[in-house]
Amino acid sequence: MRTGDLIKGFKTKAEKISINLRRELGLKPHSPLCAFDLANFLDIEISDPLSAGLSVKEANSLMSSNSGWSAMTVDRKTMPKVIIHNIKHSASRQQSNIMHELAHIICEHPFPEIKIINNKPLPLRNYNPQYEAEAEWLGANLQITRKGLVWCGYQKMKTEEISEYYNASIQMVRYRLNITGVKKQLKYF
Amino acid sequence: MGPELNTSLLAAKLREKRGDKGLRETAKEIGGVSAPTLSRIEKGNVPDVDTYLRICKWLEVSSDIFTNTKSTSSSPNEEEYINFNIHLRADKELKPSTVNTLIKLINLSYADETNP
Repeated sequence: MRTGDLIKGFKTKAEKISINLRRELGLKPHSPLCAFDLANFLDIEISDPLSAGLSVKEANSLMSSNSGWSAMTVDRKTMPKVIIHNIKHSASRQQSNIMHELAHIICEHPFPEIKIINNKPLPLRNYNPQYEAEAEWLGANLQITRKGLVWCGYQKMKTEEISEYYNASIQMVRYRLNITGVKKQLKYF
Repeated sequence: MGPELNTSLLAAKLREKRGDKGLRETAKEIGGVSAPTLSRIEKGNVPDVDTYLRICKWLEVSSDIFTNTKSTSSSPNEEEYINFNIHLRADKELKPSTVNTLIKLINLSYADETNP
């Protein structure tokens, strides 16, 4: 992720959002936060390709390891937003995928426009680097707060224990330890 | 609704103009595109809008040249935007088959709204 695409102050804001949402859910700043619980709290539906209506063959193809697809949020005018996600991903990756999508919603990123040429929609999407960088950062922050990492350091938790505690991948834990500066700050890790 | 982008033709035109030039050099010429992205497009993956338009500009062709259908409108090059209200978490370049299935999934999601 290019953190250079983040506007000044966004990282501090992301940590505040992550802690405030925990508080609203009756959790402590360092507590794990389940993406499914957060989605429920925000009145956002969670679904999967099969439940959404694809055939078994289509759903399996979309969720195969080489499809390149993780999740999608659909904003509907008269129904709650729905996040359709890849349920064949590992539990920790599903958490990360859903948190990323929730981050887009929390940031109120405008939904991209689909281009039409010659009256036919092209299967192309607009990739906005700033919005993607913000969703990556906030999504990861929602999963593991900076305060949480500091708390884990004081508890002398190993990386594997932190991964289990937050239901996050080892890579996510290492990424958050590095990018927040907690690894340097505490020297424990 | 279905995909109309001729990814084979796009890949062929890209390879043809690139010739013996390396991917990195070509990516630099196009601007705002990476060499790995170009490689994936040459293998038939669907690019995002920004990348697609940059490639069309470099190829010095109109952006509708890689669509399969003929225009029936009075303005063949008319471009419109509609808002499908979707955030997508996926690789930047996707296989056409993946794109097909995603479009179907999007249609199903919106059909829920019109037929609850």
